Amino acid sequence: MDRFLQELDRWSPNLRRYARALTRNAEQADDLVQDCLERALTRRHLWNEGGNTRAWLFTIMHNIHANDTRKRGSRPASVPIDDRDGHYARPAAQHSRIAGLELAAAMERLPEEQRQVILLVALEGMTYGEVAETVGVAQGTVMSRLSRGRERLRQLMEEGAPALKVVK
Amino acid sequence: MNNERFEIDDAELHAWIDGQLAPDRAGAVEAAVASDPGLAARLKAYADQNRELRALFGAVADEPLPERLRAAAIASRQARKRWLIPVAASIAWLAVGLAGGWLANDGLGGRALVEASRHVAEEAMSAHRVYAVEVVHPVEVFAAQEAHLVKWLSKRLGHDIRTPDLAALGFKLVGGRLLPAEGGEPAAQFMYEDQAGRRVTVYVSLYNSGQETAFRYQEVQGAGAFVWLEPEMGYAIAGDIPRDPLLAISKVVYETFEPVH
Repeated sequence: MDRFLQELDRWSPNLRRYARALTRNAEQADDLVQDCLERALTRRHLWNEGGNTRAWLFTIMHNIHANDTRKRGSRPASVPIDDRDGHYARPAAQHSRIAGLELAAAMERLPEEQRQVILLVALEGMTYGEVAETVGVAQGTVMSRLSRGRERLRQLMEEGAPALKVVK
Repeated sequence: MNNERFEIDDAELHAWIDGQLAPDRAGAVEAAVASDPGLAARLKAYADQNRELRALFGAVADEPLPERLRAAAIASRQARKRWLIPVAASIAWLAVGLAGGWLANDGLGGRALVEASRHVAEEAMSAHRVYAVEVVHPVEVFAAQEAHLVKWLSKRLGHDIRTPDLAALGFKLVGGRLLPAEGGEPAAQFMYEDQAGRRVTVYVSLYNSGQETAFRYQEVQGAGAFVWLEPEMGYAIAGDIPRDPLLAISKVVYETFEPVH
């Protein structure tokens, strides 16, 4: 198998992880990754073997997603998981997992542009410069999205804290 | 030192959390955190967010890659796709030579696929016969509202439907309509007309054959249709015009509906 295909296979798990976190829907996420890989293959002549393939692929996927979202004229469909009743019913042993779900629910309430930068930094460990390149904005914009997003998440998690205490 | 804290900007706090802070600034941030419990709590919350997000989604990257996302599989699918148009055209010509007969050349599916194609073609031709002769109400939505028409039919079919541009071939969009197809599924029909008033209809239906086929040609009572299947859709182009221009139109329609790369 040639180098280019190997590189695509190498980064596909990362693309899937980010797409899953972004769309909260496994099927939709894989559709997005597939679109991204198809486009990368048809643009193979633009691939720079010595360059940052991950950033290149994430940029392609970001553009497709932005385009899809625009076409749909709304946020992409997502699966709501803010199911408090379910949380009350879970055994206390699953506390940390529930905290994760609280965070996932809080993420849903952020504007997508903030979720994107938070996820690219947290999941991919991208530098702020790489995030800026991927989403096509200035680094200062990345920083303000990150800052506002994280602060809002923190507030939402604090508001959600009483519900978590019930679990114990 | 209080002064030192005010010199730290918000971006540096995040950079510290994310391990992206310039090493010579770490001391200043750490001193500020040590002297300000509120700041320390805030930054801990941010760090926890990173950790929890990785815990929530990290495992996705360890899942085995499904076949449809494997680069080699996508590359070979694309290679096949590029072949389809010329192959389709030649097969269509051969089929035309057989005077409207069907050419069962697909290795996969064989007769079942031929039946599926025939079925789609017949639906398309019935719809063509009924509506192409209409003078006053040939369509439900006229071309003047093309954007609305496309949006509406895309929504009803649950697929990205487009109106092929046939102007180069002398045909103008009249409009389109929603039709019932087998199994209560919706289908879409677009009507085109040339200056002589000859009409061609483009029929798109949800038809889950799971396969792609080449073009096929069928002729009934002076009207002909080219038909082909995609895995989830059936397409047929019907018209009271000779095969050559109908084939040219079919190719444009095929290219219009080919998935965008």
